[in-house]
Amino acid sequence: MTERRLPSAARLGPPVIVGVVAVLGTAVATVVDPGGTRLSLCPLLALAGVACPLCGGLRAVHALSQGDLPAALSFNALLVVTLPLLVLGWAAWVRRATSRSGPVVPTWVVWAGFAVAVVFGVLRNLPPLVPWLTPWLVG
Amino acid sequence: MSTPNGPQDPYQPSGENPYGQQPPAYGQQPPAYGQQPPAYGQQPPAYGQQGYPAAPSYPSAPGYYGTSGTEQNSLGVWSLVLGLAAFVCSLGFLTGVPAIILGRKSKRAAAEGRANNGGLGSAGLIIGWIATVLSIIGIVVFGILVATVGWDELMHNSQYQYSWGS
Repeated sequence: MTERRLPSAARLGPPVIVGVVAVLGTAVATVVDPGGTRLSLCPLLALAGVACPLCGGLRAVHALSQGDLPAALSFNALLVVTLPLLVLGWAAWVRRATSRSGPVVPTWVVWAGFAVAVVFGVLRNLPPLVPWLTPWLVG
Repeated sequence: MSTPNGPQDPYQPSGENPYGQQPPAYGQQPPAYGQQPPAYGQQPPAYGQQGYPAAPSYPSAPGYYGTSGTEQNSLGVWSLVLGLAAFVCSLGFLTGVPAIILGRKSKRAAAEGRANNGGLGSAGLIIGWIATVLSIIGIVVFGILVATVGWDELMHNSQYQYSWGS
């Protein structure tokens, strides 16, 4: 199989694409205020009124870019808390792609992160917890 | 593309993951969902092995390579997680396309005995496709709305208002 022995440049492709998309998205979210529009760009939020685990992520990034940590936490606390871990995981990905050494993110971490996101998504939509986890959500 | 190139050389560690997993050192067992290597000669039926019954026995044989063909199981996990994220979080093609790519890789890895969770890859592949198609439809509808209703009207006089901050 040709993909078994990919050179470093080809192995570097996926993490570089993900990084470029992330940087571009951050740049757009910095310049454009995602909270400035009055229309939900998310079908789930617009149609069902439900905030998924990532909901408020763009607004949180925008708030972070303005240095407003409390606002960022209110928009999406989970994303703000896990952002450093995501950056670390991406760095490990790049290192593995270039040098084939360094730590590997175990598969159970992916499952655990997924479970945490699901629990967060459920909790933030429970009416008693909405004022803390999703204060911007109006029912 | 999807045809395995016959039985692999059991003496050559050939299962290098393009996503950065290195094959374990000789004799070391990676923790892989409690999948213990089968006893010699007892091969578990891998996914998608209909046409190539003899292929998985080589990479699965203990002592040669040291795993039971789970070293690329992360492909299926990532495919399913990204596919579900694409669907639930309205990320659409942003994570749907990676879910499709990883799902295809996962199914191929399962067919070649490098993974035993091809079902996860299939699920991620399907969900990724659905999310991608839905997001494309949504973008087209959004474009039609912008063209007919107008951007300002759509953005500032929508019934879907949520309030934050102010």
